[in-house]
Amino acid sequence: MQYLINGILLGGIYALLGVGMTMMFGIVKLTNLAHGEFIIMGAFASTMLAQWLGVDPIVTLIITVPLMFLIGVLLQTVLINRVMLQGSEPALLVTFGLSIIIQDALLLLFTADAQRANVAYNTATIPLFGNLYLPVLDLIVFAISLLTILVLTIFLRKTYMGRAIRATSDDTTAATLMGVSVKKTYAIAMGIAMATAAVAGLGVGMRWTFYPSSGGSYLLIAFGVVVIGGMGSIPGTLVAGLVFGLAQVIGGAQYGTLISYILLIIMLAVRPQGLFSK
Amino acid sequence: MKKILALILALVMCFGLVACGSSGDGGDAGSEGGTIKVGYVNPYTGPLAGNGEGCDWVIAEIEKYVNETMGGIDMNGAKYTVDVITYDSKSDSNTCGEMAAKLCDEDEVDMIIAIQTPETVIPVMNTAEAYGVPCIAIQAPVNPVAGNLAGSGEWTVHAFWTIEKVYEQYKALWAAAGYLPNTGAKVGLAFANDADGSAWYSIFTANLEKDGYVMVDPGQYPSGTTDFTNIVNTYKDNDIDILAGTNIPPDFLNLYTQVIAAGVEVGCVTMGKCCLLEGDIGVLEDKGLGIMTEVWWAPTNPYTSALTGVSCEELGAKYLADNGRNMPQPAGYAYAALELAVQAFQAAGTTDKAAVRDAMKALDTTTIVGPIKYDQTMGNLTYSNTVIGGGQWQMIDGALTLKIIDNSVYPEVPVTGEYVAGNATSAQ
Repeated sequence: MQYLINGILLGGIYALLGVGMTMMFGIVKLTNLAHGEFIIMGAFASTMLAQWLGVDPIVTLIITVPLMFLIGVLLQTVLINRVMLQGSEPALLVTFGLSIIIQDALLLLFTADAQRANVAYNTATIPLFGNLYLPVLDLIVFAISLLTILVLTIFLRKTYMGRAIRATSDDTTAATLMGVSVKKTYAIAMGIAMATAAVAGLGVGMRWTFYPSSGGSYLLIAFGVVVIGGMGSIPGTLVAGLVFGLAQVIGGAQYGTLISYILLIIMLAVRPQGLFSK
Repeated sequence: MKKILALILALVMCFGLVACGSSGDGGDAGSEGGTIKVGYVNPYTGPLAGNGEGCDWVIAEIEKYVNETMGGIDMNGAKYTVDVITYDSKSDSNTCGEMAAKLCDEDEVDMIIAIQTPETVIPVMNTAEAYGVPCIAIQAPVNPVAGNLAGSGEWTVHAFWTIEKVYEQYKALWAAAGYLPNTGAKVGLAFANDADGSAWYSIFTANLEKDGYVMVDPGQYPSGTTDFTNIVNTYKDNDIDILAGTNIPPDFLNLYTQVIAAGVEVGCVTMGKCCLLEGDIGVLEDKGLGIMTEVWWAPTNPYTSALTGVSCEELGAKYLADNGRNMPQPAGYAYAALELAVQAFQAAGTTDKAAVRDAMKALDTTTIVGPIKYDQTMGNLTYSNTVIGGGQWQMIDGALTLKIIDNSVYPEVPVTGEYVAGNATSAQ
C-alpha cells in the first residue's frame, strides 16, 4: 500500500517533468534536449529566491513562472524559430548546445555544490491507518503538479490562444490560412513549456538534491513519460507519469529504473505512438 | 591587409619551428633545461565536482613552489620547470579514459596523476598503464582500484586506505555510539552498485556477522535512484540501529530524507564518500547533524611536507584565507599527489619514463597526508597505506563542522572532539 501511495506521488512530478517536453514535441515538433537544464534552471531560481527572500519556495513561483515564460518566448523568437527554417536537425543541435551552455553557466554562478530547496516540512508526514503515512512534501508537490496540468489543459481547450496552439499543432498550413501566426504560436508554446519547467524545477528542488549537472537525468525521465504518454498529449503525460512512477517504486530502488525502461521499450515496440496519441 | 596576415602567419610559423627545435634540443642534450609535463584529470563538473574543488589552487601552489622558490627541478645540471596540464573528467568514467589518452597522445606527458574516487582513478590509471606512462594514483580505496587494475600494474603506484581498514574505523564509530560488537545491533546497509559501493559491500557483508552484528541488507541499487520506498520499508520492518554505507552525495541525501520522513529511528549513521565535504553536507542543513564518516585528512593532522616544508595547519590556513572555505579533504590529497610527482622526478633526475617509474616506486617520504612508502601489494597493485580517522558532523557556532572523534585505527591522528549522541532521525 505504501508503495502505491509513494508511486502515485512520484508519478505526479514525473508527469510534470514531461508536460513541457510533450508540448514542444506535439506543437512545435521540436525535440528539446535542453528541457532537463530548463528544469534545473527553475530549481535554482526557486531555491535561490527562497533563500534570499526568506519565503517558502512555493511562493517564488510568482516570480519564476512569468520570468521563465518570458525567457522561453524570447528564446524561441530570436533563436529557435530562425534555425527551424533549416529543418529540425539544426534546431535539435541548438537545443543540445543550449543545454551545455546553461549547465556551464549554472556551474559558474552557483558552483558544483549540492542544492536543495529546504522547507520545514520536508520530512513531515500525515499518519494514515495502520503503518501507512503520507509524506507532506511529496503530497504538496503532487498537488502542484496536478494543478499545473489542469490549468494547462483548460488553457488549451478554452482560450483563443490555446485553440490557436492546438490548431497549429494539427495542421500548420490551415492554421496559417485562418490568420494564426505560426511563429507567435511557437513562441507562446515555448514560453509555456518553460513555465512548466519552472514549476517542475520547484518540485525537483523540493524533493531531490540537485546540481548544475542534474539536468540529464530529468530529461531522461521526461523522455520516457513523453514516449509512453504519446507525443503532444497532456492527459497522456499524466497517465504515463503515474505508470512510470509506480514502476519505479514497485520495482524498488534496485530494479525500478530497469523496469521503467523495459516498459518504455515494450511501449515503443507495441504502440510507438504512445498511449494517448491521435 | 593580406600582406599583414601573411606576415603574421610567417612569423607564427617561424616561432613554431624555433620552439620545436629548442624543446627537442633541451630534451636531448639536457643542458638548457625544459619543462616536465604532468597530466591531471580532475572532476571539475558533475556529481564529483565537490571532490575536485581546490585542484587549481593546489596546482598553482606546487607550481609556484617548484618553479619559483626552488627554481625548477635539477636534471643533469639543468633546471626543469613543472607544468601541470588539467582536463575536466565531467565526473564520467569514459571521459576520464579519453582525457587520459589525450594527455598521453597529444600532450605527451611525462607522468599522470589519477585521483578523486575510484570512478576517476580506475580509468585514468588503466589508460596510463596501456600507454606506459608513470602514474601516481591516490585517494580511492585500495580494493576497488586493485580489483579493476587492467594490466601488470608496472607503471602505477597507489596510496590510500583499504576497505578492511575503513570497516575497522566504522566499527570503532559504532562502538563510540554504544553499539558494541556481539550485542546483536542491527546494521542497515545502503550501498550503490558502482565500483566503490560493491567493493565496500563485499567487505562489510563478509565481516558484519562475524563481529556479532545483525545485517539488514535491502540490496544494492543503481546510482541516481529517485525513490527508496522499499529500502526504507526494509529498515523500518527490521527496526535497524545503525545505518551504514557509501554513496555519492545525491543518492544519500535523497535516501536519508526518505528515511527521516518514514520515521525510521536510527541510533547511529555512518556514511562514506558523500559526507566528507562541507558543500555536500551543508545542503542537509540541521539534518546533517550527528552523521559520522571517515576522515582521511584534516588541517589538524601532524604532518609536514618533506618537499615544501608546509604543515597541515599552515596549508589549511592558507587555503581558508585564499578561498574563504575550509580546505576540503580531497584537496589535501591533490597536494600530496603533486608532492610525490615532483619528488619522483627529483629522484630520477631525468624524464625517461622507466627511470621515473623506478624512482616513483622507491619513494619513501612524508607528504601532507602522512608518510608514503610503496611497500604493500594487493593483486598487481603496489600501494602505500595512509591514515584514517573517524569523524562526526557537529554544530559549532551555527555551522556543521567535522570533528575527529576516534583515532583507534591510527592513534597519531589527533582527535578534535568527542562523540555527541543523536541525529536527525532521533530528533523527530
